[in-house]
Amino acid sequence: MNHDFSRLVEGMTQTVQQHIIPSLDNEFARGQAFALIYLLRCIGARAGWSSAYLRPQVDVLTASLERLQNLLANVPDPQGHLAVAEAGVLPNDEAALLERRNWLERRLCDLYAWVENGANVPAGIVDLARLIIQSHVSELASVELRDSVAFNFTEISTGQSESRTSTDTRS
Amino acid sequence: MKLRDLAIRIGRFASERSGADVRVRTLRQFTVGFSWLTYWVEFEAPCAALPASAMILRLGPGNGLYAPYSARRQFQLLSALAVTRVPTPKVYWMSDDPSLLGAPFFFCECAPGRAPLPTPGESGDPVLAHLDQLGEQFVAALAELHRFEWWNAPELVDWEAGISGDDAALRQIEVCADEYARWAVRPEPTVLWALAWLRRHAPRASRISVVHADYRIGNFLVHDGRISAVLDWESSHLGDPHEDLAYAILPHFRGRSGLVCRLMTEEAFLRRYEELAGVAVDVVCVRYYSILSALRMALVNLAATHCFECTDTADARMAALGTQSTAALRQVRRMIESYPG
Repeated sequence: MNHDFSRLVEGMTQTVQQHIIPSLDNEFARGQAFALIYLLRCIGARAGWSSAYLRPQVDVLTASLERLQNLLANVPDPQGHLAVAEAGVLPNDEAALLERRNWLERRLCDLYAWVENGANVPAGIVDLARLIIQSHVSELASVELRDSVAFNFTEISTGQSESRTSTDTRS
Repeated sequence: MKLRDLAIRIGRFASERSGADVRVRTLRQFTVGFSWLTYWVEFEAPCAALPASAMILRLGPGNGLYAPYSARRQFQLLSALAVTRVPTPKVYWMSDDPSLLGAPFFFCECAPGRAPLPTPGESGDPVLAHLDQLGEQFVAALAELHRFEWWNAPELVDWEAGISGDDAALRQIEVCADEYARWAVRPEPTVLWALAWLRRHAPRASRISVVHADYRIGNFLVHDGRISAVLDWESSHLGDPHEDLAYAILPHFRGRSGLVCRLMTEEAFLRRYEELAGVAVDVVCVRYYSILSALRMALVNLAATHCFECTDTADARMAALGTQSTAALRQVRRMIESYPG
């Protein structure tokens, strides 16, 4: 779950405003919805993705990028794809952590794309780079999905509460 | 656009097309679907100049999941398939001019029936009552589609010019690459890695057919135990028909039943398809296109995030759908790791 936090909260208030309130014919329910808008805006003004959520992602990205850069250290690089300013000391605050995560992500993908798309990298190095990326995405997925919530696709797509009595279990 | 304003515009458009004074009596929007908007339109009085007194309107909104939309290809294909035994709704009118109804659109037949869900449990589920016959019809319609001689259809004359067995898979990989470039709000290394793998392992197509590309439960209507219409042709293209087989057998559509689209075992599905289509199925090719299909489904999650973050939509379903991209891409990676080739 890596949406832009501010946009997510503001989008949710718009959803309530544009799609829910107009369909409510009960004043009490509409009042509840307006209260939700207010509370969402309070959260939006004060919160963001936490460092507890971002830091593990940054750690995985940092390690993977270092592995990839080390692998490519002796590859001829006339256009200077490998020569990029170091990220610097790991920040503490969430906004800077988010920025660092985004920077690492872009850097990793740019380097990998350079390897795949005609960088004259020896075949053996390309294979090792692919293994680094494969390992990286596996680790990152584990981190990102650690606290995931069950996705209620049927309810979202039909607008009806999901039946709890599934009867079609033949195989 | 408010429903009332849309109804007025529809009336104006239908009047202009029919040469009669047509008004809309009822306009109702369906809730299902994340992409095209779907409406039921009933006209005020039967008019000999109208092809039907009630129609389905499909509208591709500017802030929709796959915007920008065009109704042209769907309209062309459904027109071409009208002469076949593939159950499809008749199409009536289309336009990509947004000044008419606010967005590209087409009108089609209001085919009878309801679409069974990929997950079981809904009241009156038609799959439970007609399992065997629906399974047979599901395979038969697909085989019929793949046997369609598209090269003789004037409606499809400009579809995928120059396509051959050598590049059918590569063309779909480039579609995925284009979609990634269009929709990725953040870099996704899994997508880059998967695209590279797909390019290295692209099979040669033994034949080129019309591919539905979203052929599954949820995209056909059932009426009185029969598939009355196959829907959602927006992703259709010319390509390797193994792509449709691979998509239909994805676990996403089995509804915890273990059956392909809740209808039949995978073995029965592929065997019956071979019998009806008159061709052997290459199971390694099916596994390859399963991976490509899974990647396309993951790209839909990226599209949803893009839609929510980069357009003026207030559709929270897009934000919710977008949260599934990590899990979807993890599935792609796992499928690649277990590929038999």
